[in-house]
Amino acid sequence: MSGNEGKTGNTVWAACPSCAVWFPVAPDLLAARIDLHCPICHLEFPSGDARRILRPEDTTETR
Amino acid sequence: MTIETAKPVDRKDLRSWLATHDAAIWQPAESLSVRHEITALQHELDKANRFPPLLIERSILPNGALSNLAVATNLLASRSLAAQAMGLDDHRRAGPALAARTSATIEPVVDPDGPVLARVFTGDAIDLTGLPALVQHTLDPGPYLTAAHATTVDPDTGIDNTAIQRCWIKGPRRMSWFPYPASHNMQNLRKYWAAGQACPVAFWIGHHPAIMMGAQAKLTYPQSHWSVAGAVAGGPLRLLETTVDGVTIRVPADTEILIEGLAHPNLLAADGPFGEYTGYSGPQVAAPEVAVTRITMRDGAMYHDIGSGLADALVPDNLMNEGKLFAQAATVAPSLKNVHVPVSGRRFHAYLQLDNPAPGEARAALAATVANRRVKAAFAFDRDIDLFAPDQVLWAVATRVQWHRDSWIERDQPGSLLDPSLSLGVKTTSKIAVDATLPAGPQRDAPQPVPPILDVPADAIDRAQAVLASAERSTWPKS
Repeated sequence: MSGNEGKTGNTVWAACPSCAVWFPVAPDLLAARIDLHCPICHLEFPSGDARRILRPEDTTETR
Repeated sequence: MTIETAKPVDRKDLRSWLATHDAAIWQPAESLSVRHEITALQHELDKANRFPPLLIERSILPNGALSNLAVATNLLASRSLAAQAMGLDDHRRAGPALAARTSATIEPVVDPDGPVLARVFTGDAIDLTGLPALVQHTLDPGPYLTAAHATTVDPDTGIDNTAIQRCWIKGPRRMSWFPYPASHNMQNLRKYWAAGQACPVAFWIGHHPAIMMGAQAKLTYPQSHWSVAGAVAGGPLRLLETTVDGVTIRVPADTEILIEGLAHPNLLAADGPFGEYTGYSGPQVAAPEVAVTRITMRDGAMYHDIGSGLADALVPDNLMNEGKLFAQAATVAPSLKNVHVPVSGRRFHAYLQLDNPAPGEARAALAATVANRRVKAAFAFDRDIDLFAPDQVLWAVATRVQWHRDSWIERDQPGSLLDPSLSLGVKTTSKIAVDATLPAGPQRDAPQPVPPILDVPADAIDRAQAVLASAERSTWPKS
């Protein structure tokens, strides 16, 4: 059943539109449409404004 | 170091505990920033396997000012000190001792007043940013209360609940509060919110370690933690009653700092990332926000911080789980002698020690252990294996296990969603149980049907130790 599931990771990353720092975000937070908060420059922004949202499947593709 | 204490010597609080461990405490002479520097010190101590409680008298706030409050941290990074705080002589026997202790209760006493009400701040005088809360790790977005025990009341029954839950200070009167979604505090909060009401909450910071550990006992819902905390501490906990938005909340009277506030309905904001017990940063999540309505503190209050993801947080947590796991497994395995939850496995590994288990008993003990939500891997060992010696544990795993016969995997079990090995969206975990005990002998006093363990005579060991004692060893290679 899970023998072929592979290692995919479980972390979704967001990149701050201002300072470009990457930080991990919970999928539930993205779904809740609550503004993200950059931990470094403290910009608050809708997830749609993120410089990039990187999901595990995206990571796998770039390997 | 001298810690002033103006109370009866038998009263248990943070000050009395620190005063009895003067020699073990390290007070750096330097000023240290609450931003990363104190936590960096803890990381270095963990790496060096040294675990002194830290008392920072001169902490530098993010605005550059010196804090008026001392920071106490790394208090329970030492298993020995943590066990002693609960009156246990040997931390290596915490499992059976705490299993017995947490099955008892000592009811709290309620006083009308308490030291924590000595200084009261309301209205514009409230300033969370004046607390020396640490910014622990690089991706933590700001200062967090890491030793704040959040106490809420079930509106249906009036029964209170207490748990350590992180709070991110976002302004003088505003902070986020992250009750884990499955937590009992979250159940209480949801009830208030479902009724369109704000959830009153009181956060208490700093107390005798036995009270703090006892208050963390895992209980059913709704069940107050005070009587178990009293049993762990060996005497009744002294409480006082405070009122937040018309709701009476009982909190420890001898705590250092008390923060009261309201989580208004459906007011959620981003919280985190935050350094977690796994050794990784947990993701940014949605968390309730608390509007702080009052802060009180003792004269000369100390601020308690817990180093998240460090021995400071793992040791007390794992000690308490050793008691819980021992109680769970002992019900099905009378030969169970001890349990250890090593810091190396974070919360995920449990070692069991059995003495001549009956056929099937080791597997029964393992099944009971992996049923615990926190445990991902459980290992059963014989009496000759020191659960606290990693080399012995791995030797037994290497030489006493046929994996196809002696291990099994349980899929789709409840577990921690913070486990980095999970795949995205997966809400359950797989677990493994490993029986690393030797087969029983055909007769009780006859040799077991396995090769004899290497040994040398005791008199030769004595001679070797005497020779070694006089040797100059400083130039010998360590690896």
